[in-house]
Amino acid sequence: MKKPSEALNWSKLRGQIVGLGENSVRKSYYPSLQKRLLELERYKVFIEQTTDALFLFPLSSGLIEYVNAAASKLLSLPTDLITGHMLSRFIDEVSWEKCMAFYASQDLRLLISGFLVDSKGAPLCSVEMLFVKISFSGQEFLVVSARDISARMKAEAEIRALNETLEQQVIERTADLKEALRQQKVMHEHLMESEKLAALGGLVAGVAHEVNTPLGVSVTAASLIGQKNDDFKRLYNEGQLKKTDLDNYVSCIDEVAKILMLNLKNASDLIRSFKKVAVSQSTEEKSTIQLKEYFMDIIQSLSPGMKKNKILIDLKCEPDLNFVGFPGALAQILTNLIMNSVKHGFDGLTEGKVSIDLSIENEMLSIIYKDNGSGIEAENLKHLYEPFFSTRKEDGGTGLGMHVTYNLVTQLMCGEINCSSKPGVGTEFTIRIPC
Amino acid sequence: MSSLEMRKFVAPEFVFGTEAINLTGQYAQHYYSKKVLVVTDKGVIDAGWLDRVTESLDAVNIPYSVFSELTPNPKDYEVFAGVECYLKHHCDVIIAVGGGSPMDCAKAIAIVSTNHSPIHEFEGIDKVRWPMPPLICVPTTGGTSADVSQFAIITNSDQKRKMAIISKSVVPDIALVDPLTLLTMDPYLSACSGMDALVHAIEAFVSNANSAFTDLHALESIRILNENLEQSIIFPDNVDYRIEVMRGSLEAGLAFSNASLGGVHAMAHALGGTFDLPHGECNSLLLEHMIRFNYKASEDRYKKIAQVMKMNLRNEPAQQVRNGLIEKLRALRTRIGICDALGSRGIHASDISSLARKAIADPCMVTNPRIPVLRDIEVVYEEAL
Repeated sequence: MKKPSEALNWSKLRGQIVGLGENSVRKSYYPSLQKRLLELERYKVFIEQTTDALFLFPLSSGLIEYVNAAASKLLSLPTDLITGHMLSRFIDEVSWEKCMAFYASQDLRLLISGFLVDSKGAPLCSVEMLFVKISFSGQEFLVVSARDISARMKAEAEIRALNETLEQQVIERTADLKEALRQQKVMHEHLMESEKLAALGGLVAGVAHEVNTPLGVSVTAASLIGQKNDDFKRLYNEGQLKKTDLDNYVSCIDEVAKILMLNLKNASDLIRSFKKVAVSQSTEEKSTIQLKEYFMDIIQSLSPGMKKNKILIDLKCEPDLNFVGFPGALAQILTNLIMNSVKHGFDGLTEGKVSIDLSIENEMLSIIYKDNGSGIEAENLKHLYEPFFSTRKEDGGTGLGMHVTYNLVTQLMCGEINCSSKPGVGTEFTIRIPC
Repeated sequence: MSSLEMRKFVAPEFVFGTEAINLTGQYAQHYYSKKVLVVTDKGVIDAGWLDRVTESLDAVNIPYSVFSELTPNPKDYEVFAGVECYLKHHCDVIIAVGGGSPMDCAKAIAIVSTNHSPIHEFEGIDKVRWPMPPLICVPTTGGTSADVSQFAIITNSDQKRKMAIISKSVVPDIALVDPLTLLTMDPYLSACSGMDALVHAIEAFVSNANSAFTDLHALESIRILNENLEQSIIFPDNVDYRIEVMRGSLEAGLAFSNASLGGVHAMAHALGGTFDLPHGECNSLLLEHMIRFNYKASEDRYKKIAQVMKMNLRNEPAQQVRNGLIEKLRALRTRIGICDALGSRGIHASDISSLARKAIADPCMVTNPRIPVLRDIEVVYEEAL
């Protein structure tokens, strides 16, 4: 006995076998044909609506079989005046030559620039033309698409012009920059010179001021001797000279002579030290320096300026240590460091200590300068070597001292300088110069 | 059939008559063919019918390719090879020349060439989506009537069963039915194909999808074949008998294409798929046993068949009519050379259960007058052994 559901199924199958099923249709090509036609219509619309001109002709005859609306528009001709003719009628001669060469070759594509021309051969518009060989139903065809590039060519010309002016502008600007750079270099050199001169000037002023004092004392002493001599001469001429007078005279002259000697020696030392420093600074040639002696001289030449505060300078150096270098530069560096300690480090302090360590190791001269002054703030440490940076501009500081020092160490003497400082504790400079 | 039920009738264009084979070229032209694929088999080529077709094509300058690598009971891989041939040679029209095998194979090739799926996907009813290319059939047997039918039967080589592809869209565009092609058939082939046609007609008549239109053709077919089949085998060179047999086959085809078949064909398909036996032979050996099974369900119809076959009924009881009919058919087939039973063809009792399972799943079983259960089929096979 068949189950009811199966019977139903068989009934449905029977209906289908007989031909009454939903899909029991005798074959028809029409639905797919319609679909294809629709596709073709759509395709045709694309081809017609494209702005590129399209020409199609078989290679065998060369006569245009199909041309689209864009071609008709660009040539200003109805399509039936274009079909049936050869493409040579509508493009310039040079392009046609190229087309012929392509036609004979094995290539499948050719892209060139040319012109569409009118019936008299005059150019209508610039076009970019693409020639493509295609095969269809056993026949060979050429498809030519021509794109109006007049707008593009105009834009290209504008860009080219702009490019040229840009290049000119770049050249001009570069010249300007070069000039500015040159001027800045010159200025920089001048500034360096000025600083040197200023430093020198300061030194000279300091020395002059200091030499004045012992010279003044010497003048006073000399005039005292003159005075005592006059007194002695008078007493002797009046026959009033007693032994006590002679004793007083001699002891007085003794004392004054000592004072005179001392002060003149002071002055002489000062001048001698200064001379050493000044002479070396102006010639700037390398010479052998006896480090300990030289540095002592420099320190001494600066000592008058440090009388204000009780500053102790402790120089540690091997007595026979020599160095071939620029003496002037070294003097300037040391002067600068010491003056900075005086002006900034010990400003407001009653006393201070500076230690200077000189040594030569591994062909490097190392100068370790330490003071126990108020130190440099971290913020200012960053700008230490910057030109014109000064925390004391109002005192007449040019702000170039450390910059000059930096340049002398690194550029003239090819060395390195490092600074570390702790506010309230002190400042340390480490300078290393190759021998 | 209730007169309230609807029926459809589909027949292709056909030309019936001697020398119809010469029209092949003309019809290929009608379909604007650029290249024809001719599907045929070795037997047909040897008989010379392929040459007639190719001459006809040459006369109208239509190029062609020939595909003939197929065997009786066409297999799925043969279809695939045929499709490759079709596509490789850029064919657009198919011409089938031969018996059921080349024609079914050609139909399958046509389906696959436009639907682009393996043939297995079309098994069943109305599974063919896209229309196949124009198909011209030139039958050379009388016959399977594949030239007019909506059926294509392909063997699934892996599963060893026959797949039925049924669709109105499988009906060929034109059949060129030339009775002269029957002249080259050997007696056994004549007998098998003739009995196949008779079975078609009988099954179409008793089918539960019969209609007045199909009845017309079915009965006429039975009448013609009954009168002429045996004679056409005894006198193989007599053209008139051949004409009648071919006409009978065509009528049977018109009938069964629209009313479908029944249990005999379902069981024959199972046999053919498993053992590769000739289709006509299987039908002949099963017919009488199936009638015995079906008789009660369609008594009047069988009586009508007996009448048409010029049997003297004269108030005989049903059972006797049945037995008489069965005996008449058995005698007929034996006389024309289809003797013995399935057992002598190498079928054993052990094969029956798998055969029965395949048979009951065949679409042809749907229109059998009496709905069987599996056991019923097994019994019929047993009787046929």
